[in-house]
Amino acid sequence: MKPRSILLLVIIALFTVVLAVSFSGNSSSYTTFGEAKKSGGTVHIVGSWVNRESANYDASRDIFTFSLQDTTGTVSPVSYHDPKPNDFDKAEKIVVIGKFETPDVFTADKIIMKCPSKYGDKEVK
Amino acid sequence: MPGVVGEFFTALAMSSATVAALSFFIAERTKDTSESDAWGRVAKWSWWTHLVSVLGVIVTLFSMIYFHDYRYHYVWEHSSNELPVYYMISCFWEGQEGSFLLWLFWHSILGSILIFKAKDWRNGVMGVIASIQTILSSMILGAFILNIKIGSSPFILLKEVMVDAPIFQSRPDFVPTNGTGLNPLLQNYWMVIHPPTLFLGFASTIIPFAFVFTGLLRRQYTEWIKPSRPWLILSVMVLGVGIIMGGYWAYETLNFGGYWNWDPVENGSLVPWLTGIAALHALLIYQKSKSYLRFSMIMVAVTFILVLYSTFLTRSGILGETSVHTFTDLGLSGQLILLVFLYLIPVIIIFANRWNDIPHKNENQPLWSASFFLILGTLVFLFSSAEILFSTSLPVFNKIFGTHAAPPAKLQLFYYKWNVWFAIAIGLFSGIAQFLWWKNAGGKKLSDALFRPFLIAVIATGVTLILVTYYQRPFAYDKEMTALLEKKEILAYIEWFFIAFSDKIMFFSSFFAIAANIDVLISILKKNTGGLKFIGGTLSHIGFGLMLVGILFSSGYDYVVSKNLTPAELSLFEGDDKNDNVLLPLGVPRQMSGFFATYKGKVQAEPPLRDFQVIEKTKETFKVKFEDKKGETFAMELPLNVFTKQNGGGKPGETIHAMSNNEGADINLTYVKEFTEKNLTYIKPQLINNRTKFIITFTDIQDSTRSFTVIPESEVNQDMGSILSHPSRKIFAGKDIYVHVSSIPNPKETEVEPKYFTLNMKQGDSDSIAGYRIVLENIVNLTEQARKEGQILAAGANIRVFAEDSTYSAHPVYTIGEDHKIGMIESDIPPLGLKFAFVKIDPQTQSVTLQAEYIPTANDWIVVKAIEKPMINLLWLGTFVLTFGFGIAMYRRAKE
Repeated sequence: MKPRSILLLVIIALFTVVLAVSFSGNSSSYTTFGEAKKSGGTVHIVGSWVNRESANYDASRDIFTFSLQDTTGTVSPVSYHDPKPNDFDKAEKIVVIGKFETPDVFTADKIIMKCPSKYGDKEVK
Repeated sequence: MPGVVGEFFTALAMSSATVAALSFFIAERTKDTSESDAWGRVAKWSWWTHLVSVLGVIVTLFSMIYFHDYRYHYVWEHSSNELPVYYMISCFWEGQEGSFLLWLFWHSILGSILIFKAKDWRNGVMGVIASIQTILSSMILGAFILNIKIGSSPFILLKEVMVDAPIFQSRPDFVPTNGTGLNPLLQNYWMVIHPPTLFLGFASTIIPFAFVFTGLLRRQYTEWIKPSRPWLILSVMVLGVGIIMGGYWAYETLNFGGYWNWDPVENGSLVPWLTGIAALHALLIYQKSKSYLRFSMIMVAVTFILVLYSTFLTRSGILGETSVHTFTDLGLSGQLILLVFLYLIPVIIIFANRWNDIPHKNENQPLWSASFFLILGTLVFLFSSAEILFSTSLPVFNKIFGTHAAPPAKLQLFYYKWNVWFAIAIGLFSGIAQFLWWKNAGGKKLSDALFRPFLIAVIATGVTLILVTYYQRPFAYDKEMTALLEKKEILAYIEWFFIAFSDKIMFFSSFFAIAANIDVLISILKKNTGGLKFIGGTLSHIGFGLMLVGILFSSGYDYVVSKNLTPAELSLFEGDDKNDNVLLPLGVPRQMSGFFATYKGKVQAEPPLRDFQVIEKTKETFKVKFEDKKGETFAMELPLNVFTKQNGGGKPGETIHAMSNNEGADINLTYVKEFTEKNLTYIKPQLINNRTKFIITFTDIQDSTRSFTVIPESEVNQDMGSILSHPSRKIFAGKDIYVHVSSIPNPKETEVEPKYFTLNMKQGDSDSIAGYRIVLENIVNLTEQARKEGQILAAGANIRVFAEDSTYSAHPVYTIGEDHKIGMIESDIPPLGLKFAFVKIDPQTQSVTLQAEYIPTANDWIVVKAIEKPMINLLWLGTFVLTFGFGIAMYRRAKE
């Protein structure tokens, strides 16, 4: 092995380690409301929108609130500091990224709508 | 049946590509010249057959879309009668099948050029290209072989897909009169040119790859460079332009307020671009020092393989929860994985086999040499692509290892803190390497030569930071940095350190790159006569530097103008500082940092109207579209009976035959036009596709004469009340003000007091209440029928109401019973909140009295978000300069 190759390998190894550390430090996990409440950290929660009629956007305060049911069946109110996202109604699955800032309400920083067949569920009229 | 023609061409395209690939490879491997030539001829004719078949498939599919052949699922799902021709082109590639076709198309065009241009490399190179055409054709084959689905065909009938739909059970020959339309987000001119550009970029990566592969096969390890280098430059140039076009489309159409979201789909196109750039620079190292040949070859191969890999990522549905883009999983995952490995494995085998045979030199490059800095720069590109690739592939790792890791919660920050340092390094290295590369041009010592750009960069950075402080523009990640410091952990401090100075250093580095490269540019032009053809590289670096400045400013120092300045009594709520949206009631100016913003109303149709066209017809109504004075397209629904030749009172000879369908009646479009123009204030036609445009003016608080208007747009989903909004921008030299409507009232949620109106009308009279035009069409004597039920008199009023986009009718009834009691049957129009009662008949004046109850359904207000994007024009300018530089370099390499 030449010194240059060793140096290169060291650099690559270092890069990989740092990347892995940075990733594990920053990555969150897909979890449930129960876990999120316990850990208090920022998490991803996959769920579906329930109690649709109670969802509300308060335009004067700029807060959108709705109920999300996670994969274990736990329902929690979620608040989001933006109006209702586009395609929210069509989403069959919703991913919220955020944490419990108050004990009862999950504050979402970001919402991802999963609509695998957004334009595929059209009906023949 | 056009579908049969399409399927025939698809099958022919696949088989001819297979024959072409095999015979090109046999010709390549056959030593005997005359035999090889014979195989070459077979291959060539198969290729021409393939080209014709691919064009045949495309023409077939496009004409099906053009002629609205809704028997076919693809046409029904992706297009509609409303679409103008240029968006029919976008429909073509909205679906996966169409975009595979686009890819096939570019390969066929590029291959056909290479048949002439590749000269003695033809057989090997074309063999590789024809082979991928076989696989890509199979993606749209739609056949079942041994119960395994091979590809998804765009020529499937609707009734074959929707087997269970009740309508097909009762009427097997049913054909819808309209399609479900193109995704409104894609109805944008960038979507007409962005996909073909991006796919040309993707498609062209196979050419350098094919040259490398053939070179390895022939053991000609260096000869492939010259003929393939212009193609490599073309590839990164076009791919780069395609990526930026996609970003510009997102910026203009979507409303996340930016042009880059680090979404897996975006990353999937960026990574091959980065490795392509690395390949380009690796070849320069080889050119200068005769080392790094193996590395260059690997990079070319990797670029192509990564294009295949991102195809797998974006089309297999594996991205799932991590991407906001939506994919219809066509169940082609297996085929897509096959596509990647079909090229990856042979490449690995042939590299392993030839590894020691490839010329290589183990010599270290001196520190202050162009090669050394090129190596560093190339490595940085490699690291950056590795970082992005690794992070984007998370769902793939989850799948393989059965884990459930989620991407970083602060995705933007995560990618930023890595790539900002890569960008800093690239900026510095590009300035230094250019000096060293052209060291004879300036004739100065490196330290002397770099002093001026260094000084300029220091001053420019200083000025920038002063301006940013003066205008109080916070850095995008200030909040995250504060949070990190509060953690009081070693790792958090390190992370903080990497973010805290990054923006300042990056300003310096990109200014340095621009200044240094301008210096080099000047000295090249001074020194070399005819130096213009040498400036390609330098110009690209200047462009790249400008892009970096534009990106850092517009993403790192963007600024929310529409901070919610909630009244004091309400701002007790926790988290109100997060509010980036402002409520604008109609006509009421609201203050938002430096501006008064006023919502002035919606864009309405203005006469004269033209180009009336019937786009849909049912038994009772028809839908018509037209353009107004300003060229906006509107659409509305009208009752058939009023406007047909028989009833409409149009002059003979002026009837225009509507779209043929079994309802058959002729619609008098001249009458429709006259009527609409006359009653425009009552009818208020809506923009086509349920769109609404909102007029918002911004007035500068300090200088009230300085004001501008933006017109953001939204599409309302009628069933759900949800909106899809498109931003509008005011473009200044130094910044964009970017505004989008984030919410509008939901008619269902607003409750208001009812209003009452009394109308005295005669037959044929009209009046207006609450902005609706009311016409009393006629009064019908219903006494005959009513007698049986013991009434002595009954009359009905036929009322027609003209609302914004359609007309409605109401039929209240008035009765007098044998006991002389008066009865009323009310009639209501729920969508308008109107209810009519027939309360009195006056036989003397032949007039009637009607009473209307009106419950206003909506207050008029909008919620907007406005963002300032400083220096974003530098990004677009830089893109032009970069592309121009690539163009010059490509021209020069092609001439060599």
